[in-house]
Amino acid sequence: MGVDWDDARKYLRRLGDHAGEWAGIPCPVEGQPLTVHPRYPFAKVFKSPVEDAEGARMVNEWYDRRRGHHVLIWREANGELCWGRISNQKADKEIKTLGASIAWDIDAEITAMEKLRKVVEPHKFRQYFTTGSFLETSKRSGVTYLFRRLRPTVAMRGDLVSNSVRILAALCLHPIGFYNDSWAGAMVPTDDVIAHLLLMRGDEHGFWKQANQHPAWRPEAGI
Amino acid sequence: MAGVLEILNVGAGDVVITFDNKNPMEAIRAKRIIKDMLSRGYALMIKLEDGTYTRAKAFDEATGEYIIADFDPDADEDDSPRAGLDDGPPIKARRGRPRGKRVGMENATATAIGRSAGG
Repeated sequence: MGVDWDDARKYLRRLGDHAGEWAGIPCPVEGQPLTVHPRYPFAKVFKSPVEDAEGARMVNEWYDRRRGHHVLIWREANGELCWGRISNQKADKEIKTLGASIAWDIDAEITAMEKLRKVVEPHKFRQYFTTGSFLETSKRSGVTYLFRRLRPTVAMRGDLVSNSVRILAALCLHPIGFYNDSWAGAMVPTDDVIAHLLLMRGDEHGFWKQANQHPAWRPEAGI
Repeated sequence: MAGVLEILNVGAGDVVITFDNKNPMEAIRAKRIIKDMLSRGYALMIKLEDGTYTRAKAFDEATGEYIIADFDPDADEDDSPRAGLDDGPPIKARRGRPRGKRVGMENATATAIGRSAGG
């Protein structure tokens, strides 16, 4: 009898409990490398062999907004300087997110939804349940945050004079880790949202400090 | 009243540990868990009586109390770009050392969030 994904998740849960890893161990998915926090106890296990390989070294990279692709410049092991382009394939990211979703336990997502329901007002939970997002304004800074399922949190500030809204940044943060080139975190989607929400409420500066801050026009912002 | 520690977990969604301070074994276990989490860099978000949340900066194992700051003691150390976070009305600054407000673990609900890998 073969091992299925449920068995794999249960095994990793037991392994995490045994190892005393409170947040658990992410479920690896073939073809979907994971990036975990470098000080995560099992970081070495998830390190891609490509990262370890000596040789090519990234020199610079930027996003060409006009052409809609990333430009990379790197130096090969023999010293040769090379460059290349990576097109922004939104569909590719969506499909990789679908692929990574096999790592998530449906019961874990339901548990996370129940927790979110306890920490937000009913109308916000209704918005999240039906649309996958909700808004909350920080009493501390006055910044309004759009928390989104499987997308970075958008930080905005309203301008009463011009009656407009300015997007400050899209904040991307995944506790423990995320699946490369996808929107998927190691945790179920609603746990990522809970993490963003509670960090914003309890340690707003820390939230910004830990998160990758993407300008609204970058594909990574998911806007 | 029992203390509650909820841990965001990749496998289970939410692991909940409850402990009664009147039970010495439970209290000792809870203190060790909290201390271990903080040493591993977990963010412990404490829900206060008024419904707001604050982050525990430290934990006093002897007294079983989370130590939270009245204001952000890392503001001076935080030199990362905040892209307009401070554009709005000025936040009232307070002078002096952080007052280190304490919250007993036996009455608090805390949520533990693992270190972030960015994204």
